[in-house]
Amino acid sequence: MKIEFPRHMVNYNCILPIIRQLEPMFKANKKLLPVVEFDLFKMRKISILGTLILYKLLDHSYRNQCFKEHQFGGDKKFLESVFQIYGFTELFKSYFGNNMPNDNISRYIKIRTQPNFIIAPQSLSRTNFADYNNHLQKTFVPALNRFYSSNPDAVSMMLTCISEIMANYWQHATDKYNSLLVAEGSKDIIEISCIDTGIGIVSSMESSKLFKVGLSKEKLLNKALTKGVSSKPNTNHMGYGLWIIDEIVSRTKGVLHIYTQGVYYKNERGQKWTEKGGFWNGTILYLQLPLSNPVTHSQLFSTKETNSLAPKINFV
Amino acid sequence: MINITLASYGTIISDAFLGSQIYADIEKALNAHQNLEIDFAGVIAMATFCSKQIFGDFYVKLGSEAFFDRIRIKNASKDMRIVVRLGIEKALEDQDRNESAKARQMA
Repeated sequence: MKIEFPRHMVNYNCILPIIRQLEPMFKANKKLLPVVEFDLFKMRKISILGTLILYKLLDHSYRNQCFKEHQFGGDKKFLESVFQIYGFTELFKSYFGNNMPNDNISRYIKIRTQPNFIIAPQSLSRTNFADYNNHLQKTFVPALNRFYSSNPDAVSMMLTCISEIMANYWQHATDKYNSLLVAEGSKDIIEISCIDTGIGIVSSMESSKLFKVGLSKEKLLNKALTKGVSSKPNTNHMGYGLWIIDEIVSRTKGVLHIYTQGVYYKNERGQKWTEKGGFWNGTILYLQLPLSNPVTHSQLFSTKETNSLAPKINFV
Repeated sequence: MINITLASYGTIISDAFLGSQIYADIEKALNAHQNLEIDFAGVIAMATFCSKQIFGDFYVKLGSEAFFDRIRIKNASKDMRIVVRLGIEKALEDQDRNESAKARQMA
């Protein structure tokens, strides 16, 4: 099998051309097929999103014994320099050496800030909860806070989105699925991506048995983005997370892409559509938020929207 | 009155583990003291999941009067007040739905 990577793997438009090639890989679990070739010869630019996709592909293939051999073709110096910038060097090195990296991947990832941009990776791990939470609270959030100190509403907006993303991915944040969230931003815009190879949204919705049997994947994905609809009723899941993110994206004229199990949803500056296409076993979520007019809960929910039960809360 | 400072758990409260730690500490405090003050100072974000897990559950468990009388929430920003309210409202909706389902079954 050969996976061809585009010349520029720098924004959300790079996702679909890659995942269109991946169904055979995701069907090769435990098959130890002879070889997979990662063709990176054309590549000249890659963002942290592209690097994350590349890493997750390799990680999935190794962990699930899809192939006996993994071949990489491309400009080695260029790739090494990119992995260095994004803090993925040690992770890739271990794979190139045909070793699985230590499951505690948070020890590999580092936050970098420059005058005009920030690169912030965060692993999600229930198994290594103490390390994960320590990095989140003591490194990740303070770094974002410092970098965007002149725009506290933007910090509130991005951390609202990040907290909802994390709560959604948390269910499947085991070592096996190795969920990873990365953020890369300038003062004007931030891109946040989170990828796992766990249970996708379509399967989660189907297994809830809340929806008509035979409902299309597109409709199931749209249901997941509907306010108050959760695949896990009678749990603490509220079905608000993806809706909140989607609303913030529409109101800030940002971008949200979700790819899961052969179907994808796009919201580009308020224009929304859902289609079949590509295949990712698990979920890729990509978010781009302009930071000039941040939107937070108080703009999404007015007091009029509360239901008639009106809880009595002693706020002081 | 005893005080629980949420920022000591984290400035972003986004996962079930952290939520259950906070829940357990609030429960312990309520078992030992009549009144509790929960301080939101420094908390920037809380997932709606965690709000329901913590505040929704206690609201249903204690009932509206006892929740109001025994738990004071201070320094919650406008956004955090909304998140707390959403978690409670959703827990009440679930309770209502479950009671209706039980009543239907009984009938």
